[in-house]
Amino acid sequence: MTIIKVAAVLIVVMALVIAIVPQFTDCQSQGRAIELANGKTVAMKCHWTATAELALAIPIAAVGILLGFSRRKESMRNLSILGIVLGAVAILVPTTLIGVCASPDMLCNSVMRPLLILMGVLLVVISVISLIASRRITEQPA
Amino acid sequence: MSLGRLAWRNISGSSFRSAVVFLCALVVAGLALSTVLILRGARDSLRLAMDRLGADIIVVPQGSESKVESALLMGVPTSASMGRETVAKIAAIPGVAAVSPQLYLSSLSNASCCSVPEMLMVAYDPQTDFTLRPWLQKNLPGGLKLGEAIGGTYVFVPKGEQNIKLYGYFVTLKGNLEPTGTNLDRTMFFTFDTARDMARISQTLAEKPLAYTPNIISSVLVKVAPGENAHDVAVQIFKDVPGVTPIESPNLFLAFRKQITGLLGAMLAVLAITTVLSLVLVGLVFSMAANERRREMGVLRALGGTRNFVFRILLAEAALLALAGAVPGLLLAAFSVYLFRSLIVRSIGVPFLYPSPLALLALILGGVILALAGVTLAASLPAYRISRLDAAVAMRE
Amino acid sequence: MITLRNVTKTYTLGRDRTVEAVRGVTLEVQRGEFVIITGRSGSGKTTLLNLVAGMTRPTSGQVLLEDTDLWRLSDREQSLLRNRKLGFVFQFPSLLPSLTALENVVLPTMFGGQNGPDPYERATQLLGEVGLQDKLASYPRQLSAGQQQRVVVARALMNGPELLLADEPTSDLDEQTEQEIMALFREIHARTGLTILLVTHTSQLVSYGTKALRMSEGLIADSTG
Repeated sequence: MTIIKVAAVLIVVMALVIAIVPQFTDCQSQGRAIELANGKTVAMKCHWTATAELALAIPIAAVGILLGFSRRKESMRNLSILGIVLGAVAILVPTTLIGVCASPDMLCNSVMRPLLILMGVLLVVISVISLIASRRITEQPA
Repeated sequence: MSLGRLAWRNISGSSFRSAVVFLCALVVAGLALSTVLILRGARDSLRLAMDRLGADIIVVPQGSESKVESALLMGVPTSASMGRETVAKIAAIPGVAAVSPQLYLSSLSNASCCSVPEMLMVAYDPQTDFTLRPWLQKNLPGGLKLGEAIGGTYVFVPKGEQNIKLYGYFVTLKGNLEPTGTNLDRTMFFTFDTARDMARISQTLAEKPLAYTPNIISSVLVKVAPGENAHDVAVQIFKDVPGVTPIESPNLFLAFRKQITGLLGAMLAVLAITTVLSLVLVGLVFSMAANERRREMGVLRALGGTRNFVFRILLAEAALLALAGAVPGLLLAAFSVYLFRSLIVRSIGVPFLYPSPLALLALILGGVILALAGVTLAASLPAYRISRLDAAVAMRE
Repeated sequence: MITLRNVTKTYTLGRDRTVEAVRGVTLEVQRGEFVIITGRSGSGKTTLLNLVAGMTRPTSGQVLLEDTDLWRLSDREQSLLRNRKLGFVFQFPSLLPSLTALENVVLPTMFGGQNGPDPYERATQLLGEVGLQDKLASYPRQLSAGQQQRVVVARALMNGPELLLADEPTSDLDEQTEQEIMALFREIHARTGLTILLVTHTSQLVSYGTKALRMSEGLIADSTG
């Protein structure tokens, strides 16, 4: 039980990191963008990754909060599975789905991408632990 | 019901003290591995770079030692140059077995060929070269022809293209060298003839022409004759050849090595403090826990457990917690250092090479052993004391 | 089967303060007796029990369990003896909190290398005999105090001991539960002829046994039965 509560808190923290950090580490925040021939600026890939991760952070936070308040074995199990899926998506966005700039000199490549991958992996691992813990719970007699 | 199983059941009833020991093991193990990976990686990287250069002495224009080292290791472009006649002068020094000049050029920003915006291009003399020769002999016996180049591990031909376009000139990439963790991985090597050709074409076809002056070089690589003292030769070069500074291979990258030593000191200090604090904390936690569980241990004695059994089960619990904490800590550290390696290089200012999977496994196993040893040591005194108690005294409250 | 010859036990409590818990007791307990030892707190009855069990070393005198001087044995031999021949019921909750009722009952088999029938089967049977057949997978925190003591009794019987030692097993229980537990002891004694040594400060309980001893100030004051 306690393990699941701890997992819930960690998941919410990770959701916050996933939402906030990319906003400050993509190229747009560093003042760089692609300039088109007609003078307009277009955001680079990393900006879209940051936006996608911000969107992703919302269901992740929801999973964390719900997990923290859930009492039933089934809901804990289902939320954990959802956590695993969301974690996997969080890893895929900066790597295959959208990606970031190619150069290791850019902040999005050296900080944002590894951080998102790390958060995704941790989210998957913590969700798996939560899943295993939820299986072990013996329902309290009424 | 075995000792191991009982120990496992005892610690998995999640409690504050189990969590503390678990976290201590996790943090210390992770920190220790990170430190080792970074320091080892920096050291290995420098060593490989030195091997790649393959010279006993590198002669550079006077005053440009640090610039040249930075160019080779960290990719900071340099325009250091000296006249080509220096080569003959150096060759004339007694004790010199071979000399070969090199010229450093840099590409334009955002070159399409590479994963990095700026690339170091090195022109070498195929007649006299001895550093690339071993690789070329093994992989490209014909050597590099006009318009051909070999690159460090990060140099590649862009998707859908046949060649790399530099300054309006098409270069054929014939192969890649092994990684060193330094800027040499983003370096392209081609002959002086190719450089000349590229400069010529760039006058008309490139956005900005390649700055190339004939008979200008950036460095001379020197091989010392066997049996000769490299230091003496270097001193002689310094005396006899004006306007140059010879750098002996052991002194190469000295500034970076000093930085690593400084870094080593700082990181080891942090690690030592964290480890000592953790061990003290673990010892305290175990003392408290052992006291709380005096009665439980007394009951085990009453049921037939020997003193030795009580000692062993307390140690087994410590060992399991150490293992449970150390393994994720080590894996987390290994993974994080891998993910953030570019950031690390940028932050500490020295090159860094991630170890091979086998070396990494050895380091992780070493970490596990250290964690086990440390935690069980910290727990052994409290465990011993409890096991020696008279069973009846243990159960008194 | 138990013989105590002029046994004394003196405790030192810090700076030169000594307490003579047992002051020269000579006693014989025959096989099959159900002895109830009463006395006020501090009379030495718990210490007496601990001496019989070999859990504390006598300051002087001999403790013989079936003619074996306990203190001539090594720690290992003593532990083995305790494991095979003795069963314990304590006053405080003595179940291991991280194990289920069934696992707690099986625990004594960890120290003896039993080559008998499956310990879990026997444990299940014993828990049935004490009326807890549907609490096998419960943890101590899920059981009432009375239920926990029943599990302890089952655990005490696990290795088929020759002597059951109970130190104030009911003092933390309410009156009704106390009667139930004492009835359980009486039932086991009647059914198996097990030798039982039970310590209590409630003198009303002496009727459950076959022999009663009263201790006072470290000595046996009187004995009946």
